[in-house]
Amino acid sequence: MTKLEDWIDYMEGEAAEMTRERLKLLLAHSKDDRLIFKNLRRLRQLILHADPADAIETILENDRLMLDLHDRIMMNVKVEISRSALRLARRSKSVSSNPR
Amino acid sequence: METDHNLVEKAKTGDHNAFSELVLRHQKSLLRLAFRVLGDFESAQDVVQESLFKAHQKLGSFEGRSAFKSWIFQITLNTAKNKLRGRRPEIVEIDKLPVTDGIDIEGDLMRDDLRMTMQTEIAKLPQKQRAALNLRIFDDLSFAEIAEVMECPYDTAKANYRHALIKLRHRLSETLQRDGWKRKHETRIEIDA
Repeated sequence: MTKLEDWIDYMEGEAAEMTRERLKLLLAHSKDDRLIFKNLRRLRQLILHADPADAIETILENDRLMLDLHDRIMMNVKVEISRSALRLARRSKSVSSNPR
Repeated sequence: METDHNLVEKAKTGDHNAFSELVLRHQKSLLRLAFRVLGDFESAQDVVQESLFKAHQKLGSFEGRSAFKSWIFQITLNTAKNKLRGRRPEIVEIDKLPVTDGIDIEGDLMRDDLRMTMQTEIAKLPQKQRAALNLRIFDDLSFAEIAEVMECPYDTAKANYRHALIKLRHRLSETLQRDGWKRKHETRIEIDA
């Protein structure tokens, strides 16, 4: 694994203990490594601020729209439950009217 | 607050309110997830509706080995990817990249440009790398959860994330140098090559 991958694991709290200790030493003593790590964290921040979904945050804050979506989903669920119950009722009716 | 696990168990017995609460709890995250894949809100809404409907239908087979959130993310991601497959491939236009030379850029405008550049570069990543990056950074999932959502081993989820980050670091560095941002805004933005 390259050093950069180690730094990514370290940043994400995923580095193994030995690697973590080694990188901590590098952070304490190496200016170059401090810069690599600092820029990696900055990159992560830049990505975080580039979330495409930020464009829909205003819509998501609209409680009425969110409730509408919720109601549509629940309506579909209710319709499907009614259909299933109907199918089940028809099946049992046909079984009872055609006993073997 | 009741846990997802409890609500799922209640919903399995036919408790409508329990499933309704799960929908309310997760629909926004799912809309964001679908929007990141599809890029338009209407389609994202359709995908979320379809995914939660599928989830309700499959609830009986959900054994709870993974978290409900991971499971519903997995369904939504797959539904969104299927919808995307049905579309014509989108061509990324090079002239959509921000032009900065010769303009005295204000901080906000510069950040908007940088955000657009970053979004363009994220969109260019291979699908699995992009998914791992989105789930980790935007949805704040652990790698174990990402592995569940992406239906892959834990190490693969981590590797996809690492590759995405390394690629973005490289590409952003190239873009910044090409557009002269590094020189102009050295104190604010540095991505070492």
